[in-house]
Amino acid sequence: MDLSFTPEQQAFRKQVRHWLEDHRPTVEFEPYYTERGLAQHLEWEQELIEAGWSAPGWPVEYGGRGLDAWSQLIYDEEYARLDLPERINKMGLIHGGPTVIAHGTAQQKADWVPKILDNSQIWCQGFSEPGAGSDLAALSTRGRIQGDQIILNGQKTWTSFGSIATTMFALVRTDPAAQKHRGISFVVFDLDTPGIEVRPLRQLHGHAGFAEVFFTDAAIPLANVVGPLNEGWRIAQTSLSLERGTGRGVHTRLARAVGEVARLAAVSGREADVERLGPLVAWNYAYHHGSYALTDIIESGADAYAISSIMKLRMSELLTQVREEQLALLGERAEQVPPAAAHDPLPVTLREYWHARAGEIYAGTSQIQKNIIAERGLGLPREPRP
Amino acid sequence: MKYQFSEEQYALGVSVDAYFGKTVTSTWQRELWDSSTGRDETFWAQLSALGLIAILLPEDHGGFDGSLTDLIPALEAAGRYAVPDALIESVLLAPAALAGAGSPVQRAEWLEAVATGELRTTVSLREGALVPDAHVADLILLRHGDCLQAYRSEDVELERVYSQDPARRLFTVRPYPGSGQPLPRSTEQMARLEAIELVATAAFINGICEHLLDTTVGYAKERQQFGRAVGSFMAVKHLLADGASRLWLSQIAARAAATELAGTEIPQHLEHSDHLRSPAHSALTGAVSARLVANDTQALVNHVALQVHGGIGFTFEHDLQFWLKRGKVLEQLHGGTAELAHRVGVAAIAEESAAEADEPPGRAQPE
Repeated sequence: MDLSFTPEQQAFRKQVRHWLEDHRPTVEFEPYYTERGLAQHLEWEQELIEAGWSAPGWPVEYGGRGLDAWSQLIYDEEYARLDLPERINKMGLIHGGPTVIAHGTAQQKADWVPKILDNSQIWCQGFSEPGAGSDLAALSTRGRIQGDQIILNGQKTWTSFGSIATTMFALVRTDPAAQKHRGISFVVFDLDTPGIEVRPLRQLHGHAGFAEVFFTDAAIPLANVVGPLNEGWRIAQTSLSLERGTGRGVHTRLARAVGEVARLAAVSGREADVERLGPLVAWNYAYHHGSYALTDIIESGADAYAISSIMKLRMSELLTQVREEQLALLGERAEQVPPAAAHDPLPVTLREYWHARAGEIYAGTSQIQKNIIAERGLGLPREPRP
Repeated sequence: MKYQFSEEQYALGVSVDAYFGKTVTSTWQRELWDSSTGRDETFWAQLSALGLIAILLPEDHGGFDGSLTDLIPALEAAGRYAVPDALIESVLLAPAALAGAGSPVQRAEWLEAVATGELRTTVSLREGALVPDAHVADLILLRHGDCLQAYRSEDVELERVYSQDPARRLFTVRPYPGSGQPLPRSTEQMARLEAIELVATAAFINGICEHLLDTTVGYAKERQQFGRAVGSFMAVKHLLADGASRLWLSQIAARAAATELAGTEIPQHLEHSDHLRSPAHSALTGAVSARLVANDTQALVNHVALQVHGGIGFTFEHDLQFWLKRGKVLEQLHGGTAELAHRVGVAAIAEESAAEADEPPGRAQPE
């Protein structure tokens, strides 16, 4: 055990911190799905891109800095510490891009990867469907092969960043005769392809980050399949495990949320509030070190599959507990919002509360994570499946 | 950054585990319950032979000058086997107290014999609390106010108090008037000793949870109901996953807290505002946090283990009770969950108010 960063890592943290502090936006951004908000986000990200801070964890040959897992963690911590704006192309930067780098052809890499890096394409993920949530492999969006094209029909939903995205990576069923997991392909396509319609979807806290995406005889190039045809399920595992991954500074955000609750508890001064704060702080301590331990595992190249699920599960549970406590401390005035229309976005405290609740659903529900922990981690037998 | 034990630490854990695996059997445990002392002299001798007692003691007094982290694998192993002896008090805490708080004369007189296991010790850091294994100790350390006082076995009168856990031997210790001698540096060492006690107990509890989970997972794979293993039902799986997810973090927390503590000087008046953002304050909060997380984990895993075993786990014949009872006992010690939670809460509020000064200015997120 050695819980200290090397002098090089400390110097790197200083470098990142200074750059971010010197260049960070000074105004509060509008939501990215508004015209003004999108422009603000793009302008900020342009600064990151030009300085080489857009995807520092990517290999150097693809425009990254080739950071190891520890430097990536430091970068993520510093970005989160300053509460800098969420990256609008994170589905491309964290999931789509690395999946293409891992499994794509030379042509696909050349066509797409630089465009993700410089935001000339904004990517979104098309996995969930109305009939395929936790049972993702039940997806029914059809991809019929016709010459050198794939004809898409069906619907994707809960598509984060769908309202601003230019490009989607998706799982579609290209062989309906094959067994459930076998007939799926991983495809990438432009959302302005004729036959594709994107309808923004307002979330319960009033934000319009989601979308539904409808396909009606939309023709995309067969050359856009990533990895072998009908092996999309395997290819998607890369993206799914990256989605759970180390959490990208989420431990820093959890710590800040706990700090906010500590300040409210200090104001209240009630012993019961102080006592309920204790476990939140203690689990935050465990989660912080858990994030580091997971980074250590990833850096050593060991299998982190079940551990990633443990971290995703505990994060969503803890963050919800912390936000519940925040509402409890605010008491009966917690419901109060500024004068607004019914569908307007909720203010930050309530938005963060509901966002924490969403965390128990997205990227694999808590129940799916528990299945993974039990089956992959503990070796328990699978539930018999039809 | 490294979150793995060193090869030496790992190796010690393996050899301790192997010894416990051979010795700490169900039959042996149950025989000890009904024996007069409840302790096995050869077992104690072997703990010394394995070098466990000497680890934290200074080299010039027969010790290894090791760190608390060195002992964590052994403590986890002890929990996995529900070792009956008051390991934390006799092997770790009392020797550490003598080494850290004793005068040069006391150290010279006692430490070498402590390191070899010849002089057996025990301690209670809470005034008036029951003292485990006082009946087999040659030297008993008791707290009076902010100070620890050392008593030889002939200086005290013992009265046994029975525990629900038949492996534990607890005593009310009444010193004869005028007996005992103070450990002169015990007041300044108290915060450190209490933190060591919390982290060591957390590691032991984590070992208990590890066994409970392993044995329950094993049972869930074998036990058939409705024509299939009960462990294939999500209702059962999810209980075990809840336990496993907490335990993984709890183990990391205790290992990290031990390492932070080992590398930090703990001053006497930590509540002083100068110390609130110090490594010492954070190491101490980490120790209480690790213990609180272990308590939470234990409460859940204890429940899950019995629930999944069902009726068979509720019998006196089944060994599950070794870990169920020890887990519940340890959960209540050192203040218990509520007091630990309060301590962490108070520390966090103090740190947060001290931190507000050097918070990064402004936010760039929309309100």
